[in-house]
Amino acid sequence: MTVLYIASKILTFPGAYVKAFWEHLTCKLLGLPVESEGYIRFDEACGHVEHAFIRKGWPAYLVATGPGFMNFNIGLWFFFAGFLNLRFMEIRPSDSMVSFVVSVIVAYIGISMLCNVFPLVDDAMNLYDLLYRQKKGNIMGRIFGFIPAVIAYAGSFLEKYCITVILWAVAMVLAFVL
Amino acid sequence: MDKEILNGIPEEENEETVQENTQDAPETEEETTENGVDTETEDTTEKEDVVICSYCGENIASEGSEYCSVCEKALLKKRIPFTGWFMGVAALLFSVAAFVLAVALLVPSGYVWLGDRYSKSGNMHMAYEAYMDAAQEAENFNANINTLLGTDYRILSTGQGVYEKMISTVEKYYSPIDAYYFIQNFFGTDTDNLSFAKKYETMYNDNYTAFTAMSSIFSGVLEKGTMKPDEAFKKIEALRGTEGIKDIFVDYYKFALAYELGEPVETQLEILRALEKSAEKSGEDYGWIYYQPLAQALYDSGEYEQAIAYLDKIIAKNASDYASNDLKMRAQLSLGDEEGAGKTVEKFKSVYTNSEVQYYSDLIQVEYLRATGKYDEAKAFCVEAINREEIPQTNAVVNLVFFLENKLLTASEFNRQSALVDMINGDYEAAFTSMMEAYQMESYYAYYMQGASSLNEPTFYNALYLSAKLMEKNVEMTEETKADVEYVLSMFEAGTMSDGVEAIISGETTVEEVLMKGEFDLA
Repeated sequence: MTVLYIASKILTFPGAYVKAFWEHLTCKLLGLPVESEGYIRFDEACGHVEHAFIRKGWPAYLVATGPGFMNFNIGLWFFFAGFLNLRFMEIRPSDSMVSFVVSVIVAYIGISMLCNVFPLVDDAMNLYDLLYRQKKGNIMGRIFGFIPAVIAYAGSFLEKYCITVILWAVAMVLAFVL
Repeated sequence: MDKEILNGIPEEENEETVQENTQDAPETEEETTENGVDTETEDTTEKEDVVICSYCGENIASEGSEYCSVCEKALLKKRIPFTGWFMGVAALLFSVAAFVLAVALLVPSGYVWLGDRYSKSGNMHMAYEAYMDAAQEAENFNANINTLLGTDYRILSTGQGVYEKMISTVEKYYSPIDAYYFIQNFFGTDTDNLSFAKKYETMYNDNYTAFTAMSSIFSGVLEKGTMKPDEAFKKIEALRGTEGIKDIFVDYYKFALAYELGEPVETQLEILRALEKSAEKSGEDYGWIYYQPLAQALYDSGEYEQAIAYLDKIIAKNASDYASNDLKMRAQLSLGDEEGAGKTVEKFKSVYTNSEVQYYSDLIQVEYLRATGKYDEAKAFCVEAINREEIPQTNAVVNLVFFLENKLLTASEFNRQSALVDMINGDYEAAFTSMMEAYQMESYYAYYMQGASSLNEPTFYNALYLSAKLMEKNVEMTEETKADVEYVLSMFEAGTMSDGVEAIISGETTVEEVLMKGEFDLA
């Protein structure tokens, strides 16, 4: 499974790399020591950074959801800019090779970012545990953070088993075939 | 050891972590107490609190941390790699451009999506409008952004695929030959790089070859009168099997000649049946060439159900086709199926619900009301239709021409429709006034738009002539009105009008009788 996971990260290299960068930046801002040397490594933490264990609710929430939020907000526009051009405006190589290639690259970058929006399973589990088992953090934070925490929790498993990449691939096939 | 030392993760949820952090640690205080070894309790607790740095694995971790002070300092000093910064910042900056592009693309893409939906439901008129809007929106964006930046970029472009869809709607709405004309108008005559244009070009060339071969025959029999009809038909038939001339076009031009010569509907029907066989034999879809004339011939010969079957085939492909829906409605009314005709009208109207052009949906509605004897409603609807057209707020220059064209055509036709209802009701003065209004609008249209006006349409000039004739016969007129009536009558030669009009004037029949059968008009 790890091989498949690493393959999915390599396949979505731009998004995985940028996601790891956002994680690293978040850890830096929170003053969390980071162990990892590189962002793309051949282990189960590929596309993420290994950081010190978090014992507080808010930092755990930021580390689990912040980088994904950034990737999602950036990736969404990349995706739409490329996808709409290819799917609806029907830009083909015969129209303009440059426009076509740019649209494909932009759409790919967008999808790669949207394939990498969830945290590492350990971070997601830790967040859920801190907020909803140990009940750390204030009540309002826990209420508002519930949906993102659940999405992060579920999404981290989807990403772990490459389901996000598979879903995107299926969606793209359907979008262009149907 | 408490949960804090175990990194805050409950034992049952994080077995691995617990084991990892406790593998070197001695048993818990509680367990020790349970075993009754009280004397060793203090020493054991001291050993338990010692956590080895998880990074170097050698030094003792600082309090509240999993790293020793040396490692923690080193790890905190670790810099984010340059490539990380580069990619992160680049992604952030480019995402702004992507955002602008995506937002700009949303509108034209939305139109293409709409066009696809309309096209799927057979609403070719609306599909065409939507695809056109998509291309227009993309161009508008480029123009606006270039004006703003003083540049000359094509940021948004409409792919050939969209044009292909647009042309496909023209094909389904009219014919492949019209689609080819559209391609030539849009892309010019050099269509080599347009892969989708090939099939239309082939169809155009097939038709053109046949037409060229037959043009001298048509001119001989129709214009010069140097050829008799029988001879003309034989000469056309002789072209069958000639290289480059397809049988389907031989049959089609035989029908066209029969139609132009006013041959009996039975003869036309016979030729059309042969045309249908040629089409089936070819294995290609030639429905566009014969469904409509065949349905009309069947209708004219009273075969209403068969006519409806062919009309349904056209409507299935193009639900926005006015001529087919109108003929279907008339066929249903001729069969006494008023409810079915009403449904046909409603279905057709629904196709045009969101259209900028309500002309055809209004027209079928008013015809239905008149044909079913709802005269007051029909008249009120005519006024509503004339007043509906308002100056659009967007794309002023383009739409002003469109608006004027639409306005003039609408005013002309619905005044004529109103006149027909007045003639049925015996209000000849109102009928003549409406027809004069229609005539004026039609003249404006012919003059300003230089378009093919309805002045030469039998339905139009028959109605104009009849309204003047009925005024002359039945109404005491002022000098001014009399002059108008005389002017109108002077434009036509008595005895050259349609059989229905001549019969009404001679008193053999009534306006109502003529308008309630056949064409349901004064054709």
